[in-house]
Amino acid sequence: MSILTLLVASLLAAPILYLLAKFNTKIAYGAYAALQVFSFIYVFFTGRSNVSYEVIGITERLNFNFGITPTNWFFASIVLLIISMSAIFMFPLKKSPVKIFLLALVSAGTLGAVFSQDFLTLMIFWEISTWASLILIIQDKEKSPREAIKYVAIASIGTYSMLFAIFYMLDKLGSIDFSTVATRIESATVEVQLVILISLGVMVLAKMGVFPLHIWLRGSHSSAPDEFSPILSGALTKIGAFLLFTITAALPSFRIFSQLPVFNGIPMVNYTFALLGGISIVVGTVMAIRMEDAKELIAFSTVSNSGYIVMALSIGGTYATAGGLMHVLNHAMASAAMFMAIAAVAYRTGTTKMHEMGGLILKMPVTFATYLVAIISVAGIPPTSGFVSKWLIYQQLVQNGLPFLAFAAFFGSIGSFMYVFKPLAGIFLGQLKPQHRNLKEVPLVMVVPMAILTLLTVFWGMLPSNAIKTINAVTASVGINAVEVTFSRIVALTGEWDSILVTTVFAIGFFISLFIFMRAKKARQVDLMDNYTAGDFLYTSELYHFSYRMYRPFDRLFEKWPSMEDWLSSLSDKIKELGALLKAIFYPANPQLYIGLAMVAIIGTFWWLR
Amino acid sequence: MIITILSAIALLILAFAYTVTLEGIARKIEARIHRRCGPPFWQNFIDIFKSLTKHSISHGFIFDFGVLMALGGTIATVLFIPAGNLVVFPGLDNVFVIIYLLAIGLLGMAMSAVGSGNPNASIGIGRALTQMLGYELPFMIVLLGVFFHFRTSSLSELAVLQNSGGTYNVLIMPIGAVVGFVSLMGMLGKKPFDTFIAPAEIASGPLVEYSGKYLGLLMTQHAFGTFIEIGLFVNLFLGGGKTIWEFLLKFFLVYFLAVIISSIMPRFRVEQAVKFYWKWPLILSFIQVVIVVFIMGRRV
Repeated sequence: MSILTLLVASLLAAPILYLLAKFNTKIAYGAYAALQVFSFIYVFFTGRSNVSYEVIGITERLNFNFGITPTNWFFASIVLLIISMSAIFMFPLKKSPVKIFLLALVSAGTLGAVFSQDFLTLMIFWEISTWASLILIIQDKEKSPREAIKYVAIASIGTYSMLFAIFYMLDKLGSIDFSTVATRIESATVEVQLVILISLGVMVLAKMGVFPLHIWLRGSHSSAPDEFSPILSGALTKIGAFLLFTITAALPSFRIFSQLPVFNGIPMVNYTFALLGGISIVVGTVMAIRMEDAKELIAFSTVSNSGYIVMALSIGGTYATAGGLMHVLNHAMASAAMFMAIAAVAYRTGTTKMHEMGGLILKMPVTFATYLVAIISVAGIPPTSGFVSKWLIYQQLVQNGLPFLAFAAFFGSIGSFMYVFKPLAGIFLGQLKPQHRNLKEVPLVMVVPMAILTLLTVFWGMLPSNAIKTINAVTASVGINAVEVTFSRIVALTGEWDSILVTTVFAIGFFISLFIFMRAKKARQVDLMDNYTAGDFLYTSELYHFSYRMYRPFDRLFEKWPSMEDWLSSLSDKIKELGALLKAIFYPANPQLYIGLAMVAIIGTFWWLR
Repeated sequence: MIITILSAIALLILAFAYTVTLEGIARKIEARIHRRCGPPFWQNFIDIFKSLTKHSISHGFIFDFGVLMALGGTIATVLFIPAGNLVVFPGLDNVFVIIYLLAIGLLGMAMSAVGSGNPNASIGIGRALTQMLGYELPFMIVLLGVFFHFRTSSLSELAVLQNSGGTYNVLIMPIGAVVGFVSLMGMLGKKPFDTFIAPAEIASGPLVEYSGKYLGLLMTQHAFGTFIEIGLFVNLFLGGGKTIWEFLLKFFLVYFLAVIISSIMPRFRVEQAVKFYWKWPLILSFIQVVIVVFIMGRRV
């Protein structure tokens, strides 16, 4: 069996699962989950060491090229891990045959994309998953069609740009293979190189949701079905990182652009991309802090973290590349876990608005733990894996001396404390709403994938050397130096990070405080309503839960800032008005006249193009 | 191994005893500036030990767990602060680790306070996190310049390099040191940046629900936190110390400058504080880092 067989099997699975779901949705969802888990396990264990390539010929010049290299294996494992975990997670949620068909298509498309070895194959399979996810987004909620249109618009900017790049490459370089393009592009002229890499970069920005093409994430992540959001944020945006890694590291944009102006050791083109990444970190963070809906908040945190990945991979160099790849892994796990936790909460309470909940910690302890570990990872606090990636990225920022990019990185990192804490406080802590008194933890099927992601996050936080060694193999395959690691230490430019030691020290500190705590007199347990109120009397707990507009003072700072969404919607209004005007002038009520006008237009066009 | 354990214990005791004493003296000095008599300088020891023996109330699991996490994280962070020649983990004490380890404590504190269910505590935490985004940014940008210049972020190495170079960073990067000090005021929660505890307004914010041993543990945590923040500044900009006494003297001077300034200041609203930090300190920090990166270059 090979990757190709797996790919064909998962493509064929889509209609089969659809028909199966017509008879029994439970069996179909079970089969889907089994297929995803199987393909993850298969890819993870067989693809690790062997490098192989497979080709399906279509015409003389056009082939589907697939292959397993360390890079493909790394991205495929992450993406399939997230998809398989979500596949198990979605079992108790609302099922439908259409959804299962589309979900199967998404995973088949993703599988094809991450194993592709040329740009056209990558694009075709990527588009399969994009279009399937587009229809998936509109399945559950009412406001979603409008959001889906935004997604289409932005995605098509990326797609056309990439399509243009592919034809341009075929024309100028005569090939679209990753490896052939990598060798031929170095001898091409600067214009050709610029056009190719920038138009591929636009695709990356569009698909990862990086400024200025980030507006689709808010709507589509939040209005997507709850079980699909983890895949959308954790897996699909990571294919963008795969393409970015291909253009910056595999076709080494550093070497290619080294004749162009270089800023602190980074070519201008790469610096521009890194700057866009930086802007999206800041924009994503600020917007995430201001959101009141948990899913919208995480969507903007995805914008911010995509910014980190784009910034790190565009800066390049030993530490940033390793840090960027590590961040792909971390953010995939953390955002999937966060979305799953929110989906679990929404499954029980039916809402994702943070201020409509509160005090769920004792009702849903595992969900709380999942969310807590995920946010610790997003905020980059040790001992979770999120710390390691941010730390490595900072090393590169210090090494190259990049204050403006560092500003964005620090902003995102400190700002993330603010936005990740808001759902924690709003949903899990504080006063319990009366209508949620009888809530229970979600079923075991949902608990297991959340627990797995949580444990993995902690594992790679405790032993980052394990992940870094894998990443070193990936970077070695494209000729970038390895980060020095031992069992528990990572050695970088400005210092060392010893995860085991730090965890031990933290545990000792914790036990010292526990010792003092236990020695002192036992505390009397009181209700959450038994609070200091400055002499007032309280009867309604829901009024005593401070979570709506928690960061109102911060909000006020940014209220007058220009909003890209407002700008775009007024632009679309203007276009509609123009259309109405044209309609009023050129759309006569009389059909004959209308046809006559059309004839004139056609003849005119023909004459002009002649 | 044994030396590490012994020096860790020594550092913890030193940090506790010294910072709590200084906090007591600070209360006295502040009182004198306000023309009051003030409590005796050992009053803070009395407060801590007395509250550890008193009865208390608890608001549930996360209320307890958060306090332990806060103190545990802060104790762990103290061990990475070099005090003169008392260095527990040489080479591993890099600043990013310290800042992020400190965040464990902050997160614990925040969870516990919000877990108490009192809106005053939530308001305080919201303000604290907002203000953190204000003061950390200029501070981190200055730090980038320091690390770029010295090629290391290890605190003990930075102290040694400054001492062997003969000048302190406060002289090499004066603008950065000023920014660092202003950020330090915010970190310590001294006026004018004490909006998140604001006793008269939100009833001490995060601390509103704590009593007895919880309050005792949190006062200890606050003392350790102060030690970490001032220790960071002293090591980064004043060259730490060749001996432990030199370090403690510099610590004293920095702490008292902060106390004296804070005792004559009114209080900013939180968005004013953030706006302030994003204006002058941020601009100055960029000026400093641009000077370091593009003009001074790396240390030879």
